[in-house]
Amino acid sequence: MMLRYVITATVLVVLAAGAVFQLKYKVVGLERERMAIETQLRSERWTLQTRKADLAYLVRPDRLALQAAQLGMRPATSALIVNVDQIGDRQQIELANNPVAVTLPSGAAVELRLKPVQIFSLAARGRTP
Amino acid sequence: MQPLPANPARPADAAIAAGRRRLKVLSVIFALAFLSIGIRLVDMVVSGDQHGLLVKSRNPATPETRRADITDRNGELLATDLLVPSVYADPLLIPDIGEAARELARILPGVAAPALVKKLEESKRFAWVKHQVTPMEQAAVLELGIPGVGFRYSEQRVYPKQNLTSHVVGFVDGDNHGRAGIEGSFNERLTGGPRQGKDPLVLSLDLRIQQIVHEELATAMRRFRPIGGVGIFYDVRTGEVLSLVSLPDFDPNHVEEATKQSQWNRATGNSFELGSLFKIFTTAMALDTGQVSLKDSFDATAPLQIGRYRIHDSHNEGRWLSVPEIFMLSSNIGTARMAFAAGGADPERAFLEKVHLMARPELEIAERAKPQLPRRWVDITTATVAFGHGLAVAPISFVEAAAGIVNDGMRAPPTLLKRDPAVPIQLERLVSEKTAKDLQLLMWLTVQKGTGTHAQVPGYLVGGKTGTADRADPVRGGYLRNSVISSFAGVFPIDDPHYLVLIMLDDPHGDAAVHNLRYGAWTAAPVVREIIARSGPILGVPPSRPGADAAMQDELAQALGASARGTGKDRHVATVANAQ
Repeated sequence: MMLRYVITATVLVVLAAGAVFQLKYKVVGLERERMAIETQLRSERWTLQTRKADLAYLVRPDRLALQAAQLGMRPATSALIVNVDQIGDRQQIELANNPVAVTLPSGAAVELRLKPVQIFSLAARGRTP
Repeated sequence: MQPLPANPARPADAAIAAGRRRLKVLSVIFALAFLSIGIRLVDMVVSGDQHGLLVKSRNPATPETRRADITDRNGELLATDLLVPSVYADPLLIPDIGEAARELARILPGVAAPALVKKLEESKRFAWVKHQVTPMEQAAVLELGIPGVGFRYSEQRVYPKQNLTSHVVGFVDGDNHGRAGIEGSFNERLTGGPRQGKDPLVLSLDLRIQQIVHEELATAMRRFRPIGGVGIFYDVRTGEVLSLVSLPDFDPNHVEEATKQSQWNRATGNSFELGSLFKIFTTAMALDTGQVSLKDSFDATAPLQIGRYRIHDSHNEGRWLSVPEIFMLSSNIGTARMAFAAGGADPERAFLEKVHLMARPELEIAERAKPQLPRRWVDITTATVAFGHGLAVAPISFVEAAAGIVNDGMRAPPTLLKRDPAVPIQLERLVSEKTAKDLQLLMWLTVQKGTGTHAQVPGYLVGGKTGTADRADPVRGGYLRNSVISSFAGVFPIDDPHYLVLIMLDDPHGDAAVHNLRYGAWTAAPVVREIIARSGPILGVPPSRPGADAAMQDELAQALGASARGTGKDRHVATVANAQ
């Protein structure tokens, strides 16, 4: 009886030792993997930081200004900004934006758009840049 | 014969007992040792390795120790840390030191072969070849493939916008410690000191406006050849500095190449006599005391004699001038008389203290100049201070004070950091709303019909004040001849003030196009005009409504007519006579 207990306990101890060894082996492996990922993460962060600095350097305002002509860009002027209430009769413009379905005598269906009587024109106000 | 011991087993029993005792002691010691290790292990698992011993011991290479980034108000990167390689050598592993040194010196600028040979021969296992090399230099070293030559990485502060924000952002030393500007004053915040985060530090600067001010000021520097220039763009409602430029400037990536002149922050770290710009304060003081109104007039028919000094006007009108005329024509005589009419030295000094001009500017950087105040405040001091001589302040101090006056008399504390719109600003009243409105009208009049007409901008109502001050002679005392500080302060839109722009040129030289004149009206005002014209649309400032000019005209007429006083002439004759 005693011998049976001893054998069972020994087997259990050996199994437990094996399990602990496996667990430790896996933990060490995972730890190494974690360290590798952390190192890579740190490295990627620095790479990202370098790219951000590169971008910030490349979009310097003086550099963009030099390329503005090639890109067809013009400086903003106050003439390009207007107050909403300065824009003609807004109701008419809104009406013009809503097409009305009309059936012609011929039976054809067309969209009718109303032309505003007065619309805002930058050129007419002499404010074109 | 020697007798046998009484109990021969006794010595063996004693030895066994002693051995057991020793074993017990040893067991206790081992148990304590294992217990302490166990407790420490449990502590590290539970507390999560607060001291970072595990990480540190396993990752000696690149811990996250970088400084936080600095950005402008729109998130544009102004300063960041990069990991930069430095070249080192292990002399023991290098087959031919002389040949290696020659090859390295050939591809690495600043490295001399003889010095490197000496260094390598004197070192045993480690010697630096060159600190912080560029990626191209690193590639060239790798290409050489010399055994025993390698790289170590360290953080280096980089400023992608180079000169553009150098005086605000500042720079760091070789150990990455802040030494000037924001880098210096926020060193602990940027390095992640106690309870500090690694979030970027967001400045109030707007890089787009900074570029415009920098570009226009640089153009004026090339044209008028001053020894220095200052440009400040300020939000009068929030106290945020949107742009601060001091020229000449420097590249903070190469501070070692910067001259002392270029490292001076003239906008905050130097004091200047700002001349007629100070008439804003004298006029505000006179109006706010109630002793002077817009309807009053002062005698400017002849120079003002105070003791042995005579005060002149650069353009003598030879007649009595009303307060609006004194301001828009920038009359020294009229302004001095106005200061006396308002009560003289005491109220003048008290007012300058009230608008914070008698103390260092309140800003988050260390480069803040103390004002240079007169030693005695006698009558001639009262007169000269009234038109901006005899008292020197930093340009940013002027901007802070003037902004407080034009913003309906309410001063917002100045800042170089972006404000949180949800946090209310602690405003301080400098002058009454009525005085502030009067000043707005006078500044508008100056740009419409006075000395500031060169600052008119199509689409915007601009107000302003010109300034031309004689430059002090630092060697012999007194003032230099034909050497001035020209300036212009513009506010827009003046009917609802939002931004203040100051341009100051230190010793400009007029060209033929400006009739060789050095006045602020001819040199600085056009620069402000260009800055407002370019920056207004970017900031979304709507153009002034049609008829806004007429409305200002009506308000001025109403202000002039609303005064319940008489002409004021007789009253001020006596005051001025006292001054003489």
